[in-house]
Amino acid sequence: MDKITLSHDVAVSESGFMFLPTTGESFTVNATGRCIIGAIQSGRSESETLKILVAEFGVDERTAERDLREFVSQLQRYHLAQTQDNK
Amino acid sequence: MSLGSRKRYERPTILKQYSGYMNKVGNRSGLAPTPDIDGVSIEKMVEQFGSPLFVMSEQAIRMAQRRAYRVFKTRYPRVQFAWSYKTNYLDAVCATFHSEDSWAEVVSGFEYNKARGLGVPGNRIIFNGPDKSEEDLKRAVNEDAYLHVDHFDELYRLISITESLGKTAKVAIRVNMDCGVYPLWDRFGFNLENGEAWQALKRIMATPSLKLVGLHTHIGTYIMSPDPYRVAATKLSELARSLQTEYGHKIEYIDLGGGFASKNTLHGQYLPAEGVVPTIEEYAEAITDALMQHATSPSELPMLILETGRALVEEAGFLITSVIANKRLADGRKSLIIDAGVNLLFTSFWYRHKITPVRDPGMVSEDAALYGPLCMNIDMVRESISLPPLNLGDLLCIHHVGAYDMTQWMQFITLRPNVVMVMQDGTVELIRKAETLEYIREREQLPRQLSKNNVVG
Ligand SMILES: Cc1ncc(COP(=O)(O)O)c(C=O)c1O
Repeated sequence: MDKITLSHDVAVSESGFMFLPTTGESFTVNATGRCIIGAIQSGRSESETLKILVAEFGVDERTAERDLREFVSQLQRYHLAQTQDNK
Repeated sequence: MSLGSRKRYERPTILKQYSGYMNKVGNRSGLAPTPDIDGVSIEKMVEQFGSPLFVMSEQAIRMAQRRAYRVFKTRYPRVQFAWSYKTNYLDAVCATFHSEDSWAEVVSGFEYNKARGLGVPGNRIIFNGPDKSEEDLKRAVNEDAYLHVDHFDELYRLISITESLGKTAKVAIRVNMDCGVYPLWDRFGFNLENGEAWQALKRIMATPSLKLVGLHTHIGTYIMSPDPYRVAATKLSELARSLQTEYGHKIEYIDLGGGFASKNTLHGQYLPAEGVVPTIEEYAEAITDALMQHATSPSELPMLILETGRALVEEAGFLITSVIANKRLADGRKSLIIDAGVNLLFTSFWYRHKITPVRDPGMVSEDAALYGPLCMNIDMVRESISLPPLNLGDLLCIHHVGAYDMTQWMQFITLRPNVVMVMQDGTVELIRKAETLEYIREREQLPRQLSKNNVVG
């Protein structure tokens, strides 16, 4: 699986508001998104993150995987995350 | 951990905020969910009847019809509505209107027979339209229906039929005229300004087997102002007065057709339709005011017939659809594929329907393109709509689809779904069964030369 790293200045508030001092951009992240960002920031791998989603929200693993993939690609689109191919 | 204590799963979402734009977060007004229709859970209905699913509300039909009747009746002594079948001719819908004392307004032999099948007597059917066959005309004459003549060929055919049957037909003519609505719908009926309408009336007055009972017009649909109705009512009243002066003949009714705008917002409209289009009171005011100005006494007033379609039934219909897929378009925009496309939602070509989630959405919403399931580029339900993150299988409710969608729908690459009606007593009745492959194939015939044995192997 790919290894995901977040830009160093990514910080999400309780309410889901995120401000990037370096670029002045702000974002809104919902609860599921906050859970994923928290997991990545605490060093969890992608498969561990999936397990957390399953436990926290009772979602099935397939759905979680599919949604995580899209969420990470959105983070990349906004230059908030990089992934490394971990073959 | 028990399931109940888990947080509800909403697809993970991150949205960039643009300063200077309205912040979508916390702005939930457009996203208020629609969990039920008249108190009946949408999720439960879908469990039982599948998705997509059309839902009609008996109560909404009755309320709209009663309100419209009251609005006209408080302004004018004699008012009769005739349900415009083409707008929605499901039996259950028509029967609801008829039980509210509406006549039937039909435009084809098929619709005429449908009305008769529901037990509507001929003398409560208005037969409009340019295409009435010899057989249709005979049946209508025999059953004493109101025949609204559309063109001279029909007029002459009707004269022959009534003479050969030895019967008198009750007729009106459809008149087209300039009332400030463009383009003019001059392909229907006889034109007023060039004298054609008067020629037709003269011919009818000279035919003993035809009894001229009314004057009819239908000036168009989704008319955004009451003024054209004032003009139409005035011009038909003047025509009625000419008949009185020339022939001493009094007509029984003036039929002003349909055409009132509804609460659906058109694609080109910037503001929501509500607040922009006239209220039914404003139309009523314009029409009844014009009619009254032409009468010398209340007993002189002709009956006013209205063939209102979309404004009465649109809000009583809902289309429930589920999310099939979430996709990102090449430019990063979000898109959703839903299981109901333009095959079921013909009106999406001109309306920006109100579309709401069925479950309580979170606080975040994002603009998304909404596509139907057809393999065609035209199958776009909405170019851009703000929606919360939705999971596969989540339901959306498309509002105000009671008019024309269930008559102009297409059986294209898939089958038409169940239609149910939420009844006033809170029960849910299946009013049109979903189509099956057998239903479609039953109509087809394979030439012997192409039969299985010859084609396969
Ligand atoms: C003759 C006639 N009457 C009534 C209607 C109903 O019109 P609306 O749905 O605009 O009220 C139509 C619609 O085209 C019509 O052609």
